[in-house]
Amino acid sequence: MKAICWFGKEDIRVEDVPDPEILNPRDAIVQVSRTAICGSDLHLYDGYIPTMERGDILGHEFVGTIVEVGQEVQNLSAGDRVVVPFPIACGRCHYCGDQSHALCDNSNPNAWMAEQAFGYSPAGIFGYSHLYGGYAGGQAEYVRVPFADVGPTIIPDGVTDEQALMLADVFPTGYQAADVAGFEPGSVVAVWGCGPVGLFAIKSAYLLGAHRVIAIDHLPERLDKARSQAGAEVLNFEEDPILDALRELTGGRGPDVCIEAVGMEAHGGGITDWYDKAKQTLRLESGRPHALRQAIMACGKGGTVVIPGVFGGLLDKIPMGAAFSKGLTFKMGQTHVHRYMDTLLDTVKNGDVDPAFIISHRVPLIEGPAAYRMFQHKTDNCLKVVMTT
Amino acid sequence: MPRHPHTPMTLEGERALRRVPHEDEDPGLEVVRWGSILGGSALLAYGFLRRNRITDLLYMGAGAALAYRGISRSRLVDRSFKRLALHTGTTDSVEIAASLTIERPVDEIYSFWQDLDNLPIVLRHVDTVERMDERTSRWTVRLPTGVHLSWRAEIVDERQNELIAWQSVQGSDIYNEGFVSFRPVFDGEATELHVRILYRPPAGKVGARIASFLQSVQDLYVREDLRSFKQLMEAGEMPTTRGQPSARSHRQNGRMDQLMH
Repeated sequence: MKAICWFGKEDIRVEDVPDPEILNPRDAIVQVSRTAICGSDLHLYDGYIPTMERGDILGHEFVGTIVEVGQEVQNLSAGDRVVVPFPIACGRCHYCGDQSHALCDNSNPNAWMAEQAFGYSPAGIFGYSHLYGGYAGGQAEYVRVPFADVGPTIIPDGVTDEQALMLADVFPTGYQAADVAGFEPGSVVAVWGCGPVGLFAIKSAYLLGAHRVIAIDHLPERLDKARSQAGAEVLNFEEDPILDALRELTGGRGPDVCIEAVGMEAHGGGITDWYDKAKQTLRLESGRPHALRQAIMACGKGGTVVIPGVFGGLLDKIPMGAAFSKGLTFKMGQTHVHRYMDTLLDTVKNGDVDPAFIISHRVPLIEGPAAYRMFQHKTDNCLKVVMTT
Repeated sequence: MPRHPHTPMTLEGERALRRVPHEDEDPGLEVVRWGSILGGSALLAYGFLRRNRITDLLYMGAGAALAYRGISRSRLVDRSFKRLALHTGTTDSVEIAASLTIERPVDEIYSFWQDLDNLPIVLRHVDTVERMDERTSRWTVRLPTGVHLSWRAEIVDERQNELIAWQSVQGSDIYNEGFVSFRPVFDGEATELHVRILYRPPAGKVGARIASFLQSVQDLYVREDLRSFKQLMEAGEMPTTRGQPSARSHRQNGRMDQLMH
């Protein structure tokens, strides 16, 4: 089959690889119909996630059709159209029992490695480094899905493959960011980053009762989308002094909730940006946490900082004094996609949100490498690439 | 927090456990600490080149610590250093400690361990445990060289759903004692499992066989063994990527994935 494989920094190729096979009784094989490139795939593309190996198959956002199931999978059969959550979860451990599927105890074959890095191991993730399990990803014609009796969800009639594809990661990730923030009547939310996750965080914040949402980015087309399609007030960090503007817009209180939907490769401008870039290049720091620092500084007293953006290792100069003194709460982590799947499928089916609104490009799988390049440089207003197999 | 119902699966769990293959090779451990080695070395070099302010000394300290962590690859090597430092030629012992929590009731876990025949299924360094009579058993372990080493052990304490403790009988080639303790948590829905095993060579000169065995037993492996046990008890299978496709040569597993399995 054809698959998009990682060979090194900015070196990905479409390769012919063997078809996947059932390896465990709870596996299934999915024939992929649509697969997307995630912003977090760019961290792999840019070489900032360690423990990738040459030849790894990428991709953790995919939908398709079941072609084969293992002997223990009773709830699915060949021909079922499914969307697959990006974290792999056993469904039976303590964390899965608490609906925290991204913290599953049993799905990372390299848990020992993650324990060396993080103390305890999170769930395995499709196509996202050996630290997260070394699973072959779904930017391919076929993919093996472990614990298929728990993860893949049948796509209801009336929901398209493209819409469902947004539920593999980006919609639930934005939704979780808003959900864990715990809004109160009148809550003002600021969102850093108007990529797919940021846009869904804005939409979800309104769905979950936020009073106002202010969105921050520097790409005009993304700000435009945040305003026209998600209903946010917008700030451009290249033009507006963000801290002053947020103070002004909130009557001097600051936002109650700050959502950092950017992650480890933020652009901020100024001297600290160069400092972080240099340290990140030398691997002395794992991220450029410019947006995170700003979110902490901007957050109002007693507020909550939510971090759906991906971070991997060590960060410098995080203003803990500000966080401590203002009594902030931090919420973060990979998304418990399984927890939100049914709710969001209903939201789409009812027509409350059409998640396909973020898709900017549709290309065949074999044009994947060029699409990665385009997405990396944000050329042609690239916001979300969907690949067809 | 919401809890979820379980279907009884003792038998499935046991059947699944019996499917676990024993590894023939002693896995190497060239672990992926290159990040901290590189970062640490760079910090060290940076601090050394400037060397004129207190912060630079801090850089050097932090760099050295990071690089050391990288090179030392966890507690494994720390332990070897400790062993080297304490080495007297006769009392070089290995103590293994591992704990984890399994989302199954305590009687299910206890009954598995109570049957000592099951031990080799979980602990990869143990080849067989044969029950001689009610309290005595014969343990055989496999050395990296393929040679076997055995001794007799006696149950010294056994408390239903709480503890099983054993000790080698006098005159064994190697002194071995250990216990497995069980503690119900989360209203009895889960069980904390604590394992301690001590191996000590007999007084006098340590033969090559025993020295080789002691070097091969590491608690990182025992922890992995327990993790596999937990995975089988909870999920009914061990997660794997062995045999999945990649653009490496046919069905070849990732280099890093082979380190522990």
